[in-house]
Amino acid sequence: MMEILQNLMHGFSVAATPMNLLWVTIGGTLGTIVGMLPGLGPATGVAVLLPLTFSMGPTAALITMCGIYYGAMFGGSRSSILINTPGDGAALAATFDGYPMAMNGRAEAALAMSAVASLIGGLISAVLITFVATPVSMFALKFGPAEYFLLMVAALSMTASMSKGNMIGGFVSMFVGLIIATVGLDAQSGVPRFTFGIMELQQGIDFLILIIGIYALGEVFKSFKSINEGQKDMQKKFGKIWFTKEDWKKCLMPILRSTPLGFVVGALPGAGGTMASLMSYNNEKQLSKNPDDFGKGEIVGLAAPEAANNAASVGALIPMLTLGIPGSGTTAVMMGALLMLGLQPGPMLFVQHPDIAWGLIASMFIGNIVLAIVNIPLAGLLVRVLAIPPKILYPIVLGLAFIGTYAIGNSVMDFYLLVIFGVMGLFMSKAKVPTAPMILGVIVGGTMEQSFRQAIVLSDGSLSIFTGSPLAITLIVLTIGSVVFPLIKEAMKKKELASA
Amino acid sequence: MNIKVKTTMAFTVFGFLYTMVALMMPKAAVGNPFAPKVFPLILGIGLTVMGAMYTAKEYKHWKEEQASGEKEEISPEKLEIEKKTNRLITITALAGVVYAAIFEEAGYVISTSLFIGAIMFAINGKKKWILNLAVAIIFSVAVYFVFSTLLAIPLPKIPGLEI
Repeated sequence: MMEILQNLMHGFSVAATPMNLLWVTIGGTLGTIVGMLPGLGPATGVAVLLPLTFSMGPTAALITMCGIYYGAMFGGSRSSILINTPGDGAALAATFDGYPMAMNGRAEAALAMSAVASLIGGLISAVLITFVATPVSMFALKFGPAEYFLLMVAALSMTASMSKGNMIGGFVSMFVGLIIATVGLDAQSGVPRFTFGIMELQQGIDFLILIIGIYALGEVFKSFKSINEGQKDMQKKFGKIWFTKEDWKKCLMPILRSTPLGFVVGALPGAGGTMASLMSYNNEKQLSKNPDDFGKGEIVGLAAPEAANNAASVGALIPMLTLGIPGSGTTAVMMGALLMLGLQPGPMLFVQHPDIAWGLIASMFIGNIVLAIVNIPLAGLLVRVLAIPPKILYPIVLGLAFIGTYAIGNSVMDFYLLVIFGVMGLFMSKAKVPTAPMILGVIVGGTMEQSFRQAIVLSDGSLSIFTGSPLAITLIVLTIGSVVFPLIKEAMKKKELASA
Repeated sequence: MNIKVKTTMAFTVFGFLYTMVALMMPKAAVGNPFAPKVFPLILGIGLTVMGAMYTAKEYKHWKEEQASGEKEEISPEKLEIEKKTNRLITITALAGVVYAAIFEEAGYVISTSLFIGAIMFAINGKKKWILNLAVAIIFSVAVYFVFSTLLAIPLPKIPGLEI
């Protein structure tokens, strides 16, 4: 306990220098702006803004990235409230009551409550992660290659099977991701695999290019459809951005209830902020004395999902930081940022680079506070970015996506890959094939294969190593459960419908 | 066939081709000669099987839709938007390929101005040429300045010029 607090204090001493505070403010403001642009969620925001951190030291870069990450989360709901268009999936629940509030002339209260709920959700979750991260990473240190392989199988299968109503599509997407990860020189034997004689492919395909392709290009391609639609009317003048005492009394308990829920859901692979915020919305609606007010501008219906969403964004960092397995697209980009800095997320991060790991956790506290300070008084100013017509905005996003890609590997070969992945993302979205399992597949594919091969070598070619420990068996049961449980649930639903 | 069936079929074919290429891959000179092939083969077969199942599911769904006569009525306006959107996506993708081809020779500012300019013209038409050119040039110069000066990330220069 004392050691954890000491580590956290050390983290604060690393993160809270004036320069780092400036970076987190800049990152947070830019993240808020990108996050609120419709269609461009936190994953795109972080991916597109990633090059800004290339010339910084590792700590400053990570703190800036954290600012961008939280900023994008805060920003996502601004457009939900004001123009009924969520910046990303997780901000969807904020449209249910946030937009009606704005329509009822309570935009100021909605903007302020969304920021305060996000702040409380973020801060409590930062406390939770402080105490959870060390035990989880200590536990993960006990994993051998076989357990590590099975852990990744479990994470992938959970992500794939959580693709609502389209489990098979989730698995197809996962296989495509793992396949992309096999391109390049084989790490153990040096055999070139699927490079087709192209030199640039020997180092493999950087997953950030896939992410930028799928999120930035793919999203812009999709948004082209609405490019000729007129601008949505939006309130541009605001009074004092704050809420009443009654609002606060009403919302405090729902915020405190939604935070742990969001944190736990966020930590599960594949679940993420969207599910967390929708779950907490439904929870609060069920618990409410006046459930009929939900959807008509009930402030609780805005506060609860906002707290859950931010809590989920912190919770999602647990598997990424302690196990090296990101649970969502956005944390995948954050992991990309760590890898770019030469840091391998996973249990060893806390042992080898405690200053970075704890600096990052400390910056969650700082980031959330700075973001609330930026977002409440400056909300009226920041939302003006929503007035930029998409006809100008989308070409600029495309330009940023290409320059971001170039900055990653200094290779124009990546431009071709970017276009291919963008088009692929578009088709996947048209065919309703989920993209998250693919992205996770690309990220963990390399490590997964190496763990698999190491385990086989350790056991002299026997597969029994994969059932050789209670932990391995637990992970297998978890994997099977993640596939079978949704199938049983669906079958029961069908039976119920048939009998009704 | 609808787009879902076509896309799932494409994944299946890709899985099959990938498996074939994995089979033809050279053997490793050190360690187990087949070691580099095993994982890709599992993945290739996995994708082919899953893709085939997915295609069968979507094909069945499509056939059922056809049989029930449930067909989404597409209005001429929607069709027009669809056509415009597809045109825009094609132009952007092609512009991306041309951008890649000229990026290093023409330098960042020129190639990016052309790339952004092409998309701006495709979206806004010729009438707004001033806006199109202004956005393309200002964006390219500003990004060049931010990257090469503030972030110290070198970008290709225009031949003979220091920008």
